[in-house]
Amino acid sequence: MMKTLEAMLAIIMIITTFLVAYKSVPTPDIATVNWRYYGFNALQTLDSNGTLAKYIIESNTTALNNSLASLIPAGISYDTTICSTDCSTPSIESNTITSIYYYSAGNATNFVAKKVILYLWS
Amino acid sequence: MVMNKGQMYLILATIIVTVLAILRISLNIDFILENNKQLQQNLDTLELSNIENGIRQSLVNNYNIPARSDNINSFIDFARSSELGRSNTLSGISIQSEYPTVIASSTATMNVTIYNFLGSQIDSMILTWSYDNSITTLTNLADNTTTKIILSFNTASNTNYVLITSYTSSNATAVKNVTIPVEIGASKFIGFYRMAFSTQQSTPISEFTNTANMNQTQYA
Repeated sequence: MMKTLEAMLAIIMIITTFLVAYKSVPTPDIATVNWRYYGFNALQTLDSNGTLAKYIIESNTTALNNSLASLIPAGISYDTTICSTDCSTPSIESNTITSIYYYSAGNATNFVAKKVILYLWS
Repeated sequence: MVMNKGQMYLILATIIVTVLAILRISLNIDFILENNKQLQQNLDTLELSNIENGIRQSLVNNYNIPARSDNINSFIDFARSSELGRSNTLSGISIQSEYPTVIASSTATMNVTIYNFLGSQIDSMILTWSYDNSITTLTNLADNTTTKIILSFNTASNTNYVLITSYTSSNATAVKNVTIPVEIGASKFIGFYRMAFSTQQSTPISEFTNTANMNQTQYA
């Protein structure tokens, strides 16, 4: 009888410690922040060589998505929207999703005020 | 002394509890959270620099268009409205000055365009022009509006003037000195921009001057 009581006490000690020490530990959302970095850097790379402005002026999301393929790490899914005011949201089913905005004023021959919304998910 | 089985359980439990506590301390969640917050703040700064680049690019793209100041401001308004849609606030002020080709010892006029996007009305603004220490007072500049004034100067040689701008709104009181380089035979655009980008994580600030010589056929 005494042994059972001591065994129960030992189990309660362990469970209580686990709950108190670990239950309130917040889970930092590091993955999506890193995805946003990948996305921003990818768009910046395309911006620096002038291709992003071209895609934006043409509203060519297909070409933009193709160019991003080699810049976004494997395992991260993505899609883009090019818009100014009325921006459609792609239908994406995922619990872990984030997005990044990237603005462009076009190029020397075409002034446009538009943005790319890059959606990233797993 | 011989321990019974029950006492052994208790000693084992004490050891496990100690190990769990040590593991929890070594996890250093606070450090990870702080690091994550820092990453998000850096991302906010990058996003603001993207808007800054858009403003610089707007001047390049509107180089040969007389309404270049208005178009640059329309880009700012676009970015501002867009960020509002995701609960971020882009606020600030732009002071864009432009003068035509300067002829030595002839009076030249300079157009100054002030765009208030501070998020509140500028109750009063005082512009002091160092050329002649003249003072222009403006009042009640509503948010998201543009105000234009004309200043003049007359010089026989290259010089730098200063446009001292002090303003007061319900959100801010500030004094900004914008240097206006005057060059005989040159036409210049001098854009001063101050922006604050407020997100859930941080409020990075960008303040810069964008100067262009307007005598070429294209931006150089």
